[in-house]
Amino acid sequence: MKSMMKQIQLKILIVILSLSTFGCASPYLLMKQKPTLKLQPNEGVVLFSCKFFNKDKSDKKNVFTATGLTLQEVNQYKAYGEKSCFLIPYPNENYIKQDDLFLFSLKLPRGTYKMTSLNGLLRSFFATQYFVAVNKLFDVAPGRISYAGRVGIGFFVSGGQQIHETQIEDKFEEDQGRFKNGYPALQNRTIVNDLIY
Amino acid sequence: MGKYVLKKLVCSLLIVAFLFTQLTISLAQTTNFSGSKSGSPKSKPAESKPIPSEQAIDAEFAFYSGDFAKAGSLFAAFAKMKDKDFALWNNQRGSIYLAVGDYKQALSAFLDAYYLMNDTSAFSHLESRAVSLTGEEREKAYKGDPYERVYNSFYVALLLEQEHDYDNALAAVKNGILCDSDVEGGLYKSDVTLLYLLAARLEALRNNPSMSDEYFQKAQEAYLVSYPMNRGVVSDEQGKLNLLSKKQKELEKLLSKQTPPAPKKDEKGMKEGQIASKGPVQNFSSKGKDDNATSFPKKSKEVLAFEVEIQALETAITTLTGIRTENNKQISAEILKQVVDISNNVLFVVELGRGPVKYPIGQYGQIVIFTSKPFKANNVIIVTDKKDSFDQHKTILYNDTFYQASTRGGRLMDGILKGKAEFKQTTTEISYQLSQISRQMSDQANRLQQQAAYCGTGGAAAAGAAYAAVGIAIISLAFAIGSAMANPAADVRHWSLLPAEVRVIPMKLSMGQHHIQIQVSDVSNNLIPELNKEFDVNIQEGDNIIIKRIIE
Repeated sequence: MKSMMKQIQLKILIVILSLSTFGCASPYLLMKQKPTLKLQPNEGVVLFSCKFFNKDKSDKKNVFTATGLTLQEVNQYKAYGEKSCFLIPYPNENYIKQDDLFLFSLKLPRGTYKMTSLNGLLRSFFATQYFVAVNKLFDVAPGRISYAGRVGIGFFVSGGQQIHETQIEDKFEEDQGRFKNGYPALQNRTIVNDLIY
Repeated sequence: MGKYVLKKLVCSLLIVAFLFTQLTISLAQTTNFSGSKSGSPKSKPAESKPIPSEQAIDAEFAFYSGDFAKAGSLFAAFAKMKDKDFALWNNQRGSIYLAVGDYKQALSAFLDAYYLMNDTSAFSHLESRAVSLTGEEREKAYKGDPYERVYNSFYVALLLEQEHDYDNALAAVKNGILCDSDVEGGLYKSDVTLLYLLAARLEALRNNPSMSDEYFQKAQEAYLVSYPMNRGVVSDEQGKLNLLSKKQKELEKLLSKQTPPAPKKDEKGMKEGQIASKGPVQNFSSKGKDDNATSFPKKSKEVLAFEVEIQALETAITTLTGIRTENNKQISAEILKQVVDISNNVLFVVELGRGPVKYPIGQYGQIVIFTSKPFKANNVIIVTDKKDSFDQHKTILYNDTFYQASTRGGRLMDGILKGKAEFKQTTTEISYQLSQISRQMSDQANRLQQQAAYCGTGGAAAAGAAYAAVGIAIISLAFAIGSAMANPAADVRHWSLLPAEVRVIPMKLSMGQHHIQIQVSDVSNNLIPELNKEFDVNIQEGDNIIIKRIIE
């Protein structure tokens, strides 16, 4: 009887957990320990790096830990759609300490997407939850691994408010090496430069 | 008893909610195709299953990956439906036909779009629904932004010129010029150089030199205003002109409040004279400060502050105009003459990159912005018969669609969408607050009920609180439904197969066969072999138009 109750409790817990994560998924396909990359016929990969810095204190490192990002499909022929939140399971694994750089990889169906925001923990005076609005587009082509650039986000305080500015840089040569060296699944794959816009 | 009433109320609420959702679904369905209700006697039975318009994105991807056949067939299938997006499908089809060099089909598609885009009465019944609180902007028929109408007219004119139909080509150009003047910013009005140049050429071809000169003059002005060196200055100047106009209106309002009820005749006359002398934009000038001082015994601090601001703006505008005049001295507009010179019997049009991408931002997608995808092609050289080379110096540059799209000013619809977004936000907040109150009252009712069970008193109070909680819950639900039904999402349909830049190279070629090479290089002048093109053309008597798209 007790074991049955435990089983029921466990099932309820699983249902609650899956319900709470509904709408959020992890497309985080690249892991250091994953040697292969499997894509469906309609899927492609987008890689980009992120540099977060404090404009007021340029020497300060690791100012922001990204824990998730929000994407939205851009299709002019569809009604305004839902935003999808993607969680980054192991943020530290994709952080290169010496370069103070985050590496992102996403597996998505073909289409144009808007990166709405990067979500995470901002370490300024206190560590706070912060949503970095980005609002930039990138394309996903089937079977293609594309590099979308380096998203530089500078945080600063203006008028007593924490704000940020975003800039996109083409660091294809530098970042391509970082991705290929960091993830075995990418070592023998061609990466195409197709910047976020 | 109380529980029974509660159950009844919950059931009724569920039924109301269900009916509301059904109503919204049926309303959305009525305007899906051709704006007619499905199943109405006029609607024809579908011959084959219609392709959902969402799949049009596949056609875009096919076009940019070079699969023109797939892109063309998909857009043709959509155009067959003759729905509210008919003009959009045809503009897209026109771009595909241009890319494959089928000018006749391209003209036919662009003309189909042209008639609808310039017909204000077509699909007008859909517009009232789109502006309503529960309607969506994209439910109205696509007629394009001013920049899209400008480029549609441009292509129609160019292709009619190719057919030597100069009168109709000129009519299309004039229509394009009219569409371009339908923008907010005075400086951005009529800044599409190519339209004026084409008009000047067509007038020359129609043997009308005086009109040709007039259009050429305007082409020069448009070229200078839209020249990259001037764009920043013009933007700043336009911003300041808008601000000046706003401040002048505010000052006017303030002065009208402060005007004595019965002004003397001569005072009134003086004021009217001042306004008239300043022209349409500068209604109030700080130059009239002393005169105003005689009209009003004492100016308020507010008026004085406005006058200072206006004076500062006027000074800044004069400075910016001066900078623009200085810049203009460094810009050579000589190349423009080559287009109007009808001895140049070929207009070679090269289209580069992707046109502006229109997409929504904001909490409810109520704000529209444009972006452009970067492209590698920078320098284009045309080599004819392996000997004559036409480089950047012989090319009319800087006709970029993104600049035209982003300088057209705000739309009337933006204000409506802002209102809808504010309504949605407010009703969501009210609904949330009311649901919180309802929950609190429900808790209180439960506590009172428990108290009544133990002590035997307070039963009536508990029932009262429960009814009040239900009442508030109903109001909260009504707000939530209202909020859910409000749709402030902006319409982002746009002509996505437009190029980013249109370059024109006027040239003189003898009649007969010629070999053409297009050499494309990037910003560092490195050749991009995969973008180069090589082909033969047959030059005929009269005007010849060659259009080539470089897709990357």
